[in-house]
Amino acid sequence: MTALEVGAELGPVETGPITRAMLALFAGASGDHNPIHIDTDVARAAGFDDVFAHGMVAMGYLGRVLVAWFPQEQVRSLGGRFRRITPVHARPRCRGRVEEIVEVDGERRARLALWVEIDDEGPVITGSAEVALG
Amino acid sequence: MIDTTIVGRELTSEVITLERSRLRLFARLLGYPADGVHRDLAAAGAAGHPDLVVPPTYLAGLETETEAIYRTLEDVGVDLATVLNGEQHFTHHRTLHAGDQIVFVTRITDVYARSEGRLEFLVRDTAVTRDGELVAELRNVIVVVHREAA
Repeated sequence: MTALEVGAELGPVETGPITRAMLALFAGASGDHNPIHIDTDVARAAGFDDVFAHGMVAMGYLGRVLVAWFPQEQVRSLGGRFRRITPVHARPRCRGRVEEIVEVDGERRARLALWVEIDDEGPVITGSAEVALG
Repeated sequence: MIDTTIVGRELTSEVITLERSRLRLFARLLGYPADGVHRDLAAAGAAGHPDLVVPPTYLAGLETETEAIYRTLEDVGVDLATVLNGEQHFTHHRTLHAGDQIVFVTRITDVYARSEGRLEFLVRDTAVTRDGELVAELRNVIVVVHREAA
């Protein structure tokens, strides 16, 4: 990737689409067995129209994209806030921006703003990461 | 309202082995490259890793699977159907690999309400260790939605 500068944009990288089969397998693979993501009856009883993706699916895509942008050994932190649900059939787009370059614990790090969007109505996740620079 | 006396409660998991086949499925579902260090043993070996590399977001679900959160929700009388994931944060100190054995120590660090009590937030901080060494830290915030609260 090109030299990192404050304000540099990362992505977008399109992922998905989210499918019901994938959510069922993700429940077992991830360990989050909450039935609201895999059983339509449970989702409807809780007031939703349908099952929807675990928040960690969208954040999982963000993690995948982040370690494609930077070596995983350099990722010091990663996280975010879940803003809206990600419905079945969505194709989450992962994006980022370099917010600042800082020195922490004797190493140069880039602080990134990260977000995942599925449409024009605001991100499903707003997050951030800190990565060490070589 | 969630009983705030649960703040400070700490639960320690059993020793958990990071399973290769499960890591591979997790990585495949999220679209990690088939020939990369998260899915391909030869690629991991060629890059100097002892086994498949654990994706940076994997530990959150595994912590959920210890059921510490379900026990906590049950103890405070919260129905799982009213709970949404609010935030998840990871701090990484070491790269983890398939076959590693880890322990989660999860502490409830805060409980607070917003929107006149219609939303309650439960904050949990987890230390992840391997052979006693701190390898990662997790912070999770869940939101309890009280739809019928006055």
